[in-house]
Amino acid sequence: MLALEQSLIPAEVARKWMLLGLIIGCIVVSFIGLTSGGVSISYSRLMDILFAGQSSNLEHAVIWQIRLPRLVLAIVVGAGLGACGAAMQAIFRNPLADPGLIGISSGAALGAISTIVLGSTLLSGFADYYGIYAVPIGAFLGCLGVCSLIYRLSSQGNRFTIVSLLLAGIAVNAIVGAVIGILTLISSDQQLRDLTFWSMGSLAGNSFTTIIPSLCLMLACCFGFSRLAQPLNLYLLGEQQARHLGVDVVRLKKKVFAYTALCTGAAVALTGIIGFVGFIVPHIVRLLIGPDHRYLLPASMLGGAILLCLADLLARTLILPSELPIGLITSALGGPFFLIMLVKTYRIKEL
Amino acid sequence: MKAQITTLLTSSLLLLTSLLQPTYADQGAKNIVVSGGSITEIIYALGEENRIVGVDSTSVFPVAASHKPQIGYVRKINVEGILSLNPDLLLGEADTGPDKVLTQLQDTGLPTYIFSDNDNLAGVEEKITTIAELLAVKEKGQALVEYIQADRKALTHVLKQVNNKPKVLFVLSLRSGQPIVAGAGNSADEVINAAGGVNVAAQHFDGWKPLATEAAIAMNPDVIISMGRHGEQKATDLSQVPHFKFSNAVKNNRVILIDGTYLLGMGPRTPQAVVELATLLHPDATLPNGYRFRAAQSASENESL
Repeated sequence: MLALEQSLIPAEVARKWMLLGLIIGCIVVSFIGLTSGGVSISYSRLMDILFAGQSSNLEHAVIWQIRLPRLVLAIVVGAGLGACGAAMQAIFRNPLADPGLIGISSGAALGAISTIVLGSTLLSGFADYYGIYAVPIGAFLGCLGVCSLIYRLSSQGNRFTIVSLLLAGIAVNAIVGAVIGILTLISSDQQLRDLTFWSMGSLAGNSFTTIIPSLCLMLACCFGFSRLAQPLNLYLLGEQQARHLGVDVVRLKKKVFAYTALCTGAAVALTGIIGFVGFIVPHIVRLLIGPDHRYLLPASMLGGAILLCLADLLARTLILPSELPIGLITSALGGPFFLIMLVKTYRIKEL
Repeated sequence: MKAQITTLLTSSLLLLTSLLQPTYADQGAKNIVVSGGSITEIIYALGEENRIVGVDSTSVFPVAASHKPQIGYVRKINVEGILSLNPDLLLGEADTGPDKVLTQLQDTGLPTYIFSDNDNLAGVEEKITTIAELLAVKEKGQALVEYIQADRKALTHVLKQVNNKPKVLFVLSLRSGQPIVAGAGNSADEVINAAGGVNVAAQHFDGWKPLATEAAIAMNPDVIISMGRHGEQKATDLSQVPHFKFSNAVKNNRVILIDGTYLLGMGPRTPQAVVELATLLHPDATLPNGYRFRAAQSASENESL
C-alpha cells in the first residue's frame, strides 16, 4: 500500500529542493552524454558546435545527427515511462504496477512483431509504403488496438473497475503472448533476429525527423499526467472517499489508462521494449519524497529521464566500439539501487 | 516481397555510395570497417588485413580478426563506435543494419559499400573481385579467384562419379531438445545441394525450424550434418535424441560435424568445404590427382588460407 507517511524527505521545502536538484542533475547528465562517446568531443568544442553554428564536419554531424536526437529521445522516453509508472501505481494502489501489467507493452510488441514477420507477405503494401517507419507505426497501432480491446472488456456497463482491468489485461496478455509465439514460429531467421533485437530495446539510429511525432505525443501525455496530480492524491484515500470528495473516479481511471497507452505506445514504437524504468523510478521517488503526486509525478519524469540518459550513456560507451542493449543496463542500475532503498526504508520504519 | 525491398534499398544505397565514393586514385580504402564475416575472410586472404580497423562479431576467421575492435553484430552495428575508428569505408554484407543506423552513417559522410545480394556459393568469386577493386589490389583478387578454381574443378570431378544422392539433414542446434534444422532457401540447403546431396527438410519448410520427433523419424536422413569443431567425433548428443536415434545416419555412423564458418561462411574457404562435404556424402568418389585441402578448416589453426 502507498501509505501517506512513508518518505525519507518529509518537508515540503525539501521536496522543492529535490525537484530542483533533479532538474540540475538532468542538465548535467545531458552534457556528459553529449560530450562522451565513441568520437571524443571536448566540452568547449561542444559549446561551439551547439551555439556557434559550425560548418558541417564529422563532429558537427555526430552531435546534431547522432547524439542530440538520441539524448532528447532518452529524456522524453524516460520521462514518459516514469510518469506512466507513477500513475499506474497510483491507480492500482500498488507499488508493483507498471504499464506492462495491463497489456500495453505486449500490445506494442504484437504490432511490431507482426510488422516484422508479416511485413513482407500479408502486409507487404504497408511495409513498402512506410519503409523504416513501418515497425514503429505497427507497434503504435498494435498498442492502441490491444489497449482499446482491454478497455472495452473492462468497462462493461461503465464500471471500469481495477479488478476487471487487471483481469482483462492478464487475459489479453496471454492471448497476445500466444500470437507472438505463432509469429515467432513462422518467421524466417532474419525476421527472428530482427524481432529479438527489437524486444531488447535500443535508442540507436533515430534522427529528429523520425522521433518528432512520438516526442510530441509523449510530451502531451506528460502534460496530461501532471494535471491529474490532485485527483490522484484524493484517489489514494480510497475510491469511495475520492468520489465523496468530488473526483470522477471512472473518468480519472480512463484518463490514466489512455495517457499511459498513448505514451508507452509512442515510446515503445521508437525504442523497442525498455523494461524496468516505469517500475523502478516512481518507486524510488516515492521512497524519497512520499506519494504526493504534485511532487511525485514531476520527480518521476525527471528521474526517468536521468536514469535513461545514464543507462544509454553506459550502453554507448562501456564496450566501445560496439554497444550494449539498454534494457540490460536499466536492470543492472535499477536493481541494486532499488534493494538499497528498500532496506533503508525498513530501517526508518523500525526507528 | 522482402527481397524486393532489400534490393530497392541496397540499390538506392549503392547509388548513394557511388555519389559519396571518393575516387581512390591508386590506394583504395585505407581504414576499413567490415560488417560480415566473409568479407573479413576475403580481405585476410588478399593479405590486406592491416587495412581493417574494425570488424563485426561474425568475423571470427582467422582468429586474428576477432581481436580487432568490435562494432557489434552485423545486423546491429553501432554508429558512434564505427565513427570513432575513423574509417574511410564501411564494407558490409547485404544484411548490414539496422537500416536507420546505416542511413545515419551515410549522413555523416562515411562512404559505404553494401553488397546487394546475400552470400551464395556462386557469388564468391564476384565478391572477391569487387573487394579487390575497392582495395585497389586487382591482381591479388585475380590470384585468389584462380586459387579457388581448383576447388571448383575438384567438386565437378567428384560429382561426375556420383549417381545417387544421399538424404541429408543439417542440424543447427539441439537447444531445448528440439533440433533446429535447415529447410529450403538458406546457406545450409545450398551447400548440401552443391555437394550432391538432397536436403530432406527442404520440401517441408523454408528457413530454420524446430523439428518434431515423428517428422524427423519419417525423414530418416542418410547423413546428418551439424556444426562443431572440425572433425570432432562428439556427435553422441545427436545420436541420442529420439529424433535421430533410429535413422540410417546414426546406424551407419554418418553424423558429420563441420565448422560453421568454414562450410556456411560463403567466403574463400567455402568452395573447399563443399568439396570436403561432397567426399563425405559420397565416400566412394575420388578427388582429382594432385588436389589437396589447403585452407584451414577451423579458426584455431593460425593461417588464413
